[in-house]
Amino acid sequence: MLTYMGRRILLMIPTVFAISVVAFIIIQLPPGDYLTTIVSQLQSQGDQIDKAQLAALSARYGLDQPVYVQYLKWIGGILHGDFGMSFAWNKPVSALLGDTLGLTIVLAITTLLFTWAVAFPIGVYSAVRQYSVGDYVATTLGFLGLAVPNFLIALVLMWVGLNYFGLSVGGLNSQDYVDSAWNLGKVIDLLAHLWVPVVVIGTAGTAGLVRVLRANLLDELHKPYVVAARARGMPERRLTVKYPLRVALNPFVSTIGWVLPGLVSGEVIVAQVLSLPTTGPLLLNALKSQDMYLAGSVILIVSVLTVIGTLISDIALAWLDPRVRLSHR
Amino acid sequence: MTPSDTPRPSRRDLLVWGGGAFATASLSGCSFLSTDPSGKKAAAGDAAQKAKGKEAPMLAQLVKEGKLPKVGQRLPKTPLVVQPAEKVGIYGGTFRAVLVNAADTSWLGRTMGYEALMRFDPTGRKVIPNIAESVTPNDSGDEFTIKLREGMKWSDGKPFTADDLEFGFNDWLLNADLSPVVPDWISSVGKPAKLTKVNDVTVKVTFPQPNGLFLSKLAYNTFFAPKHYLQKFHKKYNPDADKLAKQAKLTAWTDLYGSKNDHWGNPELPTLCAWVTKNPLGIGSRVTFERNPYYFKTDPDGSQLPYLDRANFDVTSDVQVILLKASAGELDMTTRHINTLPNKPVLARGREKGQYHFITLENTVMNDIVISLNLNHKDPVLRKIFQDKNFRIGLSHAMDRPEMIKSVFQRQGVPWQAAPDERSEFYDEEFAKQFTEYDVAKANSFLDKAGLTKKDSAGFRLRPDGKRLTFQVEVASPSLTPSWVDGTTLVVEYWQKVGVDAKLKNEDRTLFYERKDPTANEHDAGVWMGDGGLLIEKLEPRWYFPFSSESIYAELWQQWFNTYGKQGEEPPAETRKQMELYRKLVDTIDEQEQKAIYKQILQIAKEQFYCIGCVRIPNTYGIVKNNFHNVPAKMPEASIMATPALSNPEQWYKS
Repeated sequence: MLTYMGRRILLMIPTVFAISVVAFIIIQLPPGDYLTTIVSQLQSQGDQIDKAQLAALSARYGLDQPVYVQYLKWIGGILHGDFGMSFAWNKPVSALLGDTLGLTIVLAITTLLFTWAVAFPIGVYSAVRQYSVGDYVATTLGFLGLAVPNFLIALVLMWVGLNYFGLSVGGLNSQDYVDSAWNLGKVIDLLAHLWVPVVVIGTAGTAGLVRVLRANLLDELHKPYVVAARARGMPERRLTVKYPLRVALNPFVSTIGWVLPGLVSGEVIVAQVLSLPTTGPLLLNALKSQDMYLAGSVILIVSVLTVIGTLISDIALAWLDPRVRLSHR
Repeated sequence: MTPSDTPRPSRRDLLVWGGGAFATASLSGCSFLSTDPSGKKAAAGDAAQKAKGKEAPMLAQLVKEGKLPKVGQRLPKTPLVVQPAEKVGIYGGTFRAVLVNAADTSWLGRTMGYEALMRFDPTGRKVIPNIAESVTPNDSGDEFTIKLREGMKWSDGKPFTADDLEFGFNDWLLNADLSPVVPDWISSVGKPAKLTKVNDVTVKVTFPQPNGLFLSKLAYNTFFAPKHYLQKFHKKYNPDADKLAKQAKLTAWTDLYGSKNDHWGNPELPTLCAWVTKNPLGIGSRVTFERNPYYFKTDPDGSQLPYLDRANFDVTSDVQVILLKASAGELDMTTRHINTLPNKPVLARGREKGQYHFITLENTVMNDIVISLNLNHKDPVLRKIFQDKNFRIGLSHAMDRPEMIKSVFQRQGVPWQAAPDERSEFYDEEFAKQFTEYDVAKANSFLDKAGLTKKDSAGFRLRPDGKRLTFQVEVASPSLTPSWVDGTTLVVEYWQKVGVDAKLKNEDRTLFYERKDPTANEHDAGVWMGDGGLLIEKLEPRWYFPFSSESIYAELWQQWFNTYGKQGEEPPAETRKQMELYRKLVDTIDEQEQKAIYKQILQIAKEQFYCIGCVRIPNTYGIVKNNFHNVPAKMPEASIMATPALSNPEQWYKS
C-alpha cells in the first residue's frame, strides 16, 4: 500500500508539469495576445501606434520572447512562489488568487457536502424502494436537475429571490457586508447567501450521484451473498448498510478526483451569472483578454486539485474495495 | 437578503460559544465576533447627516477634531463654481452603481474620474476650463498657456502646481520606458510638443506645428500626475526604484510605477477628483469611494462639493444581473450596459416598483450598423469590385432598411447613411439619405453596371475571373449592440437576393482587431458603430475619410496618412485631398475656418461613399432613481465626453 502511494505521488510531478505546459500553449494558441486588447483600447481612443511602439510595448510585457521562454520564466517564478503579474489587473497573480481562492474552496466543499448529504439517502431510498412513489418523485426531480442548465436555475432563483424574498441579487454578501472586514456577522451573512450557488451547482451533481448509487445498489441487492446474509436472519437495515451499500459506494469514492476540479471549473458559468467573487469568473476573463500568467496559474491550480483529488480517491478506493487493494500488492 | 432577515446570535449566545475569547476579543475594539458590518454606520447615518453648510458634516467633524484644515484653506483661491442642473443640493448619501467585471473601468472613469484641464459643458456643445483656470492659445495656434488655480490641492492636502504638469508631461507621457507610445494628442506632424514651466501656476505647451484641436483634446486627455507621490517610484528621481519593485514582487520599476499610478487600483494615489478610492478594484467584489476633502469645486452658495459622501460599485459579471438590480431600484443612475432597445420595455415596466425614471441620451453615434467593404483587399479582383462605387450603391439599394427597423430596432430609428446626424452643424440631407431607398431593380441595375452580369447556376453573380462573388462580413463578438448580429444577418440575406453571396462571420473581438490590422489586412468586410455623427465630428472623422485604424474600409490608406507616407498605400487623389484638408484643419485655430474646411472633407466623403450605413437611432436612454437629483433630463452620449460625467457628478444629490 505504501509503495503504491509513493509511486502515485511521484507520478503526480510529471503529470502536473505536462498539464502546465499544455495549458500554457493552449492559452497562447488563439491569435493576438494581451497587447491586442491594449491596442484596440488605445485605437478606439484615437491614438495611433506604429510598429516600433508596438515592439517597445511587447518588450515591456515580455511578449516578444518565444512561448517557451515565457513559459520558463513563469514556471521558474512559481517554483519561488511567484505566480507572475496579471497584465489586466496590474497586480501580482498571487494577490488576486489569494482573494478568490478561499471563497472558491468554501463554496466547493459546501457544495460537495450538500451533494452527498442529499444524494446519499435519496439514492439508497430509491434503490431499496424501487418503483415506489418516492422513487418516482426522486427520479423525476433528479432528471430535471440534470437536464436544466445550471445558469438557468441560477437566473430563475435570482428572479424568484428578488421578486418574492427581496433578496439582493449577485454576490455572496448583502450590501452592508460587502466591503466590511470578516467577522461573525459577515460569516453568518455569507451562509445566508451561500445556499443559492450551492443548490444551483449541486443539483446536477446530486442528480447524477442519485442515479449512479441507485443503479449500483440495485445490482448488488440481489446478489447471492446478500440473499445468503438475509437467509441467516440478519436485520434488513444492517444488512444493506454493511454489504451492498459498501460496494455501491465505489462510484462516490472514485469520482472525488473529478469533484474537486469540477466544482472549481464547473462553477464558472454559475459564478459568472451570480457574480460570485470566486476564481471562475477570474479565469474566464483572463482567458478572454489573454492575460496568460493569470489564466495559466488558475489552470495550474485546478489541475493540481484534479491530481490531488484523483490521489485521494485512489487511496480511498483501495481502502474501501479489497479487490483494488489486492491487485496492487 | 438584508441583514435584519438573517438569523443573528444574541449576545448571550456569543458568550456561551466564545466564552473568554469573546471577552478579550471585544476589548480589542475590533472583534471578529462582532456581527455589525465593520467600519461605518453609513446606512443608518445617511438620513441624519443630510445637511447644508460650507462643507459636508463628515468633514466638519474632522476639522473640529483638528485632523483637517478649515474648508477655506482646503479650497483654491478661485474655486470652480458649478451651476446645479436643477437646484442646489444637500450633503450626504451614497451613489450605488455596478461594474461588469474588472475591465469596466471606463464606467468608473465616466462617473468618478472625469477631471481634465478643460471639460465639456453639460450640453456637450462647448469646451470650458476645469482644473485649469484658463488655457490661452497664441494667434498661430502652436503655443498654449495653461494657468492653474492658485492654492489648489491634491486629495492628500499637498499643493497642486506646475511641477505636477511638468512631471506628468516629461517624465510620464514622454518617458519611453513608461509610455513607448507618444500620445497623438500631444504631438503635431508626429513630433511631440514641449512643455516649459513659467511659474508655479503657469506652463506653456509649444508644438512644432499649430494644433487647432488641442483645446478640445484637453477636455478628454490628461497629462498631470502627483509628482510628490509618484517620484519615489520613478527611476529618474529614485535610483532605488528597481529595488522597490523587487520588494513588491514586480519585475521592473515601470511595473511598479504603473501599479502605483492606477487611480482604481491604488487608494494611496492622490487625486483631484471629487471622490477618492477607498476599496480598490481587485480586492473583494466592491469598489468604494469617499469624498475628497480638498475638492476644488463649490456650488453657487459657496458650499464645497461633492454633495454625495460615498460611492459603491459592485463588481458583477453578468448584464442580466444588472438589469435585475436596476428594475429592483438598486442603482441610482446608469447610462450603460443595460440601455439597449430590447431592454427598454422591461425597464419601463419596472419603473414604479424600482422608483426610477428615464432620461434621454442624445446619440453622438450616427449609425448603429456601418458596413465597410475592404477597399484595400489583398485579392486584386475583390479589391477592384469593392472599389467600384456602383457595386456599393447596388448593395445599399438592396437593403430593406424599414424592415430592419421593424424587426431589429423595435420600430425605432431612421434609414441613414454613414453621415452626420440631423442635429449636427454638418448635417447634409443628401449625404444622409443617398442610396437608402429599398429598390431591388435599382440594386440589380447598379450591380450590372459594376460589370457583374454573369451568374452561376445557383443565381449568384460571378467575378470577372469566373469565380463566384463571395465574401464574409465580420462582426466582432461580444458586439457593442445586439443589433450587429441580427441586423447583419438580414443584410447578407438581402444581398443574396440580388445575387451577391455574402456571409456573416461572427468572431471574437480580439480576432476581429487582428484581422483588420493594416499589417494583416485579412478582412473582406466589417461592421462597427457610426462614431462621430454629432458634436464630435471633427475629432472623430473615421467614417468620412481613412483617418484611423478604426476606418476599417481602408486600413492601408489610413496607415499611409498616419505614417506620413512611410507605410501603407497611397490613396487615390480625392482621398489624398481630404487628408490634406484635415492637416490644414488641424493647423487652423479659427473655429469658423475649421468648419468650412470640414464641410469640404464631408463633401468628398459623400461623393466617395466609402461605407454603407443602415439605421440611425437618434436617442438612447438612461435610468435615474426618483430621489436622485441634478441629473439633466437630456445629455449627449459620447465616450470622450465621459457621459454621464459631463453633467457634473459632484453636484448629484439624494433626497
